[in-house]
Amino acid sequence: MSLSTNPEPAMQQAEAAREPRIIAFLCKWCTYTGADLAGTSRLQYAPNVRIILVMCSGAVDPLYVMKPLLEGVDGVLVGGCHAGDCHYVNGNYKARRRIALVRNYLEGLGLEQDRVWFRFISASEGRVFADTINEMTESLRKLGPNPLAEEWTV
Amino acid sequence: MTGAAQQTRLVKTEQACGELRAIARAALRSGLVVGALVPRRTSTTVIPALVKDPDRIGDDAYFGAPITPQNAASLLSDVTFRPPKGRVLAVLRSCEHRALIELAKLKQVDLDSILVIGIDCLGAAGPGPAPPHLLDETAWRARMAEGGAEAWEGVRRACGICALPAATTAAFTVGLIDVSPESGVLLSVPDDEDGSRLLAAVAAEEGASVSEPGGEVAAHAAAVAAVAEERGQAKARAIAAWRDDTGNFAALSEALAACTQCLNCRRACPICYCRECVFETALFESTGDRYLSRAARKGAVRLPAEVMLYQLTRLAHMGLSCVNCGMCEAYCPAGIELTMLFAVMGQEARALFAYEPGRDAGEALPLTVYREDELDPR
Repeated sequence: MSLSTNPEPAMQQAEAAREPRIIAFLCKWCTYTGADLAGTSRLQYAPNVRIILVMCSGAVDPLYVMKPLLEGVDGVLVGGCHAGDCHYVNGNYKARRRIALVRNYLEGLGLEQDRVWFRFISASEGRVFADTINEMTESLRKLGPNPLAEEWTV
Repeated sequence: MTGAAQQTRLVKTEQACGELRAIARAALRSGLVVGALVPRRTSTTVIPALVKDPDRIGDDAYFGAPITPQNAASLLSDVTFRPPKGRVLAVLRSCEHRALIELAKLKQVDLDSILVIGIDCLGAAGPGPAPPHLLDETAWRARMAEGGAEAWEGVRRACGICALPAATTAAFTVGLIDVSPESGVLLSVPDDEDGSRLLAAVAAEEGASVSEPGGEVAAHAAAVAAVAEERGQAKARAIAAWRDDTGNFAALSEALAACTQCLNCRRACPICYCRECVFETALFESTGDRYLSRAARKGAVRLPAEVMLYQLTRLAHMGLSCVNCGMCEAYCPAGIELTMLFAVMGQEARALFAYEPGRDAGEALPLTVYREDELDPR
């Protein structure tokens, strides 16, 4: 299979319109299931997000949050279970510290820390998921495009 | 160590500058330790060596040498990862002891297998041939006795902004700053069985004498505090300057321009303990077409392609435990000023968790623990 030089037409169109692009890492047990519920409930939400399924928000290494931002994505969302609900006991609490660390580093280098969101969204909160994506898209629109999208040395 | 009762003595040997050798021999002979990490002087540097027999600690043993081919914590990880029967003596400067404590939290060293003697340090050279004045023990002791915050020529840049001239984290310490070589060295040991045993053994060493110190203790403490104060200010100035000049993505990518992602910094780093770094794996292997699509998106793609991500990932993985020893920079063939990147970014991140690497072996690594009532979301 040859890899297309134009792998994501939808994403490129979004860029053309300077639409915010979001990468979301969602935990299998809560937020991903919540996103699924949003879909099966036919809730409308901004099409600006690409979802990556992870087993636990605690499995999201800072590396995976920083990589898309350096590539020029406008925001990264990490979604995990509510406090006390982690399927692996405390992965979401540990994720919370890691995300705080990443936000601190990004801010320290001049990238708005509000490009990285961490949210607790449960499997039953399809509505909350849809609202979160809408809210984040709107917030990123206000922030403007990620300046690193133009920085070839980064 | 703060809090615990200490007994401090002046140790003096007939041989000039022989005190640390006498202390090491005494520790071995008394059975307090079964081996000692000994920096052995060559014509250009020191070679760290493990020695078992006290009589093999000869005149080439240069404890406290202002030369660190490697952060000794890495070597002690090799020796104690599978703990030996009995303890090993290590004379460590502050950055080495703090790295050792961080490595213990990462379960890479066994602290119970090591008897640390913390030693004063005003700066040390990195790898490569050391300048002659650093290889001269008499000159080094005279320099230590002189005190003062000015960095010695040829030492690592990180040392110039190190505000921890004394290894106060250790229970056993040797004070050299502002202590005249004619008086000897200030040996401080805990007021317990181990401490008393070492003092007795040192007193029994041939040519060594142990005496109650006079004004040396207070003078030493004041001189150490003065160095710490002045270096602390130098560090604050360097951090502010870095913040102004380099503290943003565009300038940082400039600073990293010469990086070839050789990973030497991570090999030299005492904290980077992974057998295989994620940047050595196939994770970032890509196809030609993908490189081209990245190039299309940004107009160009820098090669090697993950230089910035690599440094940021190191910050995320070990930045909280960074002891600012500066070995990364000392080992960088491209001369990149990594010390400041980690000093500045690390300091800001550590403030998030009120964490100080190497402060206390009982403290948990911030990313391994949590509190329910902290940060957002709740």
